[in-house]
Amino acid sequence: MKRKINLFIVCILVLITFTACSKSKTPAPTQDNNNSNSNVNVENDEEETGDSDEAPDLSGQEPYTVKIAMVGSTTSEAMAEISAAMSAITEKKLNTKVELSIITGSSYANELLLSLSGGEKLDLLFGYGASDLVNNGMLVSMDDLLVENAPGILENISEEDWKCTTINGSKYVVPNNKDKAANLAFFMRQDILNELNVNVEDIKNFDDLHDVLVKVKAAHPEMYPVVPDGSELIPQFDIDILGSVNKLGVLLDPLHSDDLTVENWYASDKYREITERMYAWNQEGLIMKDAFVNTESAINLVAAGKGFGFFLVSNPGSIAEHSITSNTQIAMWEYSQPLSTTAAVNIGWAIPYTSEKPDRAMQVLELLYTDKELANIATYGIEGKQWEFVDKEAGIIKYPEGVNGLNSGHFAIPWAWPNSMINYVWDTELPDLRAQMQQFNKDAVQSPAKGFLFNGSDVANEIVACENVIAKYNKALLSGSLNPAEGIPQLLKELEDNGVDKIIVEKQRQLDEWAKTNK
Amino acid sequence: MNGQKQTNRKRLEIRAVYYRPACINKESKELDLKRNKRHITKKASRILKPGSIIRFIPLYIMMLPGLLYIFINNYLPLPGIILAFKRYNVQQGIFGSPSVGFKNFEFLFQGGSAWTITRNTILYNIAFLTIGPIIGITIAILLYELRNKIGKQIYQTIILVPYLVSIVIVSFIVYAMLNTEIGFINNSILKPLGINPVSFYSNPKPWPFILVFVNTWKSFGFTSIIYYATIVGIDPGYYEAASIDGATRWKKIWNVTLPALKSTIITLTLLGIGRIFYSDFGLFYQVPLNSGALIDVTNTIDTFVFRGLSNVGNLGMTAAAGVYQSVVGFILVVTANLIVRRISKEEALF
Repeated sequence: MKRKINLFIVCILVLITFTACSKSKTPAPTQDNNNSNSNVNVENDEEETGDSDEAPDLSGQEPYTVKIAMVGSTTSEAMAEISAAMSAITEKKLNTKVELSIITGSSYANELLLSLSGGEKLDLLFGYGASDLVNNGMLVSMDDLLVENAPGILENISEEDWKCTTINGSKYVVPNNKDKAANLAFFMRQDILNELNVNVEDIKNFDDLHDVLVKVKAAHPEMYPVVPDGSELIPQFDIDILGSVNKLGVLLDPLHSDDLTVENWYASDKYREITERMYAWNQEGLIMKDAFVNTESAINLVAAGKGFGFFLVSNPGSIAEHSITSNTQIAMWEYSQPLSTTAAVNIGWAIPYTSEKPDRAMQVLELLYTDKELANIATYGIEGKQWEFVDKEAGIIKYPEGVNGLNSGHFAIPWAWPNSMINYVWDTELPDLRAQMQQFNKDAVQSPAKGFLFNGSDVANEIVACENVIAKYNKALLSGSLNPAEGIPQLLKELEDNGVDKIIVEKQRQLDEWAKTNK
Repeated sequence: MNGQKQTNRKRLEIRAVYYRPACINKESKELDLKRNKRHITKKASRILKPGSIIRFIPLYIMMLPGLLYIFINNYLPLPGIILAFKRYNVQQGIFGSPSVGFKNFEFLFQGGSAWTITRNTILYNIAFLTIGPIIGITIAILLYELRNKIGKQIYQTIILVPYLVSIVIVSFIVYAMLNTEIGFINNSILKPLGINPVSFYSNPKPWPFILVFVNTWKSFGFTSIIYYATIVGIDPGYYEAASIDGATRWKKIWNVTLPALKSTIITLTLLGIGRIFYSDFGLFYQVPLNSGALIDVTNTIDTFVFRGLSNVGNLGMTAAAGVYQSVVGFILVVTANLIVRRISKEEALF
């Protein structure tokens, strides 16, 4: 009896363990069968596609379906409809169907890696960290494909930008045409500034900002003067991180000097000054308590009336964007200059090795980059359903009656699609946002190391160990919860014990080599 | 008929155990063991008769889907272990990628953190393995002693709820307790007492207790039900016999229930030992809200690998971590089982 019960228990436990281990892959919704029936509601405007005149006629090719993996938040019905609407255009021009597979941000990287490791067919993908994918052999080199199939893309992207996505001498990623630089800013609530009679223009430096924050704290004890975005209080700095989000080995002053010396960010004066300032602010109660374990976005905290302001990167669209999402007028104090580094450009579209016909994938990518109609369907969804025109001439759109960003079924992320510069703008955004953005990109300071990509596979052990050390100290230091007088020496010592010098030496070596051929 | 006789005999034995001095008790145990051995071999030969296989065919068929599933899910991917020794490149495939020997394993043992993560992983698991059964058995016995049927069912349901709650939600329940300003402990307990608020998320000291508490709170419902199932299966005859002999409730628990639970405890512990180099990722990453200040007491092998490799994306190194954990777990289970078998063959898992 006893033994039988034991056996039974073992069986149950074993089964439980196994079922728990096998998180089933969510099957990507298959659109093929949906394509046929939703063709009806697609309006084909047969205009403004003039640029295809000179291009060879590709509509006679044999049929093929290009499967696209993209990050975002889209319901499966909307995905099927948008795929069908896009296919209507691509079929006419390329005799190619399009099948979208849009995966939510948090699981995108994992699912992408899973499907690529599993050899699942995929033709186009949106990717952030392409160099890892290239190191694993998962992407196809694009050099010839671009020349043969994508004159529009080649023409549009500058040589400098191409360098940022060139690995081992070949192009692997088409960088998105979006904001390619970032400024640093502190955003705050305009209504409270008005109430306190403060003019944003009067804030000139961090001491001025400090005085404002002190006033805010006195007038509004119910809100935190500074709130973090997620667990990070200050997400970026005026440094070039040289391709490592962990900031192991950076250029300290890319804005003002051409110096290519790789340095330890955590040992720098800049880092010490910032952490000291934040520690002082935290002592005065200006920063949200336990900021480093916060999980809410800064916008949400401000929208909920819990925060007055936050640090974030900025570009010409920032004020409008944050004002809408936080439901209150936002003011911005920019305290740096727009800086363009590899990291700001190295985001784009690639063709994985699992594509059966990479040339067809490239044709679709070319069309997504150059065809205004297709690009806007991909980005915003279907006219009349997810959006409608306010002013067709100027390309200004709005949500239809009763629709908003949350319930439209397709959340628009213009910057993630190949060419946001041909996208329409919302009526809540600046009408000339695209032009301003282009100017912003042009005016940005170019980092002397722009175009350099670091390959960390030879120092992977050290990186893993140092990442854990940084996880231990960095967020607490930056949110002022840890006294830098104690924290930084400990951090530096542990980094040293775990081989940070080796990483910096290796990075310097690669950077010097890069500089020889690229300067 | 046979079974009836046997229980009668055991009943007598148990009665005898009460009044026998220790030395005789030992002797009888040996005797008992011998008898048991004979008994088992006899039983085994009976099962192997060809006739009985036919009799059990429906059961084997019922087993088939599960076996198939286990085969596909757990045995087919086994060649992937090779990945741990390769610098993996998809286009070259698992077998075609260049070999790098044990290089992928180095990061687990290098630098200052290696000792901390191994220590944390093992100590936490040992704590879970000792506290879990103690609480589980206590609750199971309490449940069994309850006479009110409806009450019993209500308790059973209630204690199972934490087990069904996702760890992410648990992490926010903990956050609601520990938050510096609005948390229950700081706001409703320490503040009225006039004690300064404690910043739990930047103070590593209480976390070993918090984590053990949370883990126990979350899992005791499930383990106690497993033990409860075993207790329910104990022949009531033992209890009757003990009552006739005037044993108190306490004595019955001590001398009947616990010995009957012995093999279940051993089975569960052996399975737990196999996972001693793993950790519940959610518990160690979500519950402390990934707070850096707590890393010294919350970093385990799994969180270390996650923190280090989520930005690197090196398949070989992640595979190496998995292989290391399973190999060590396998060795530990086999050794532990060997020891158990030395002491009492009947209780060993295999």
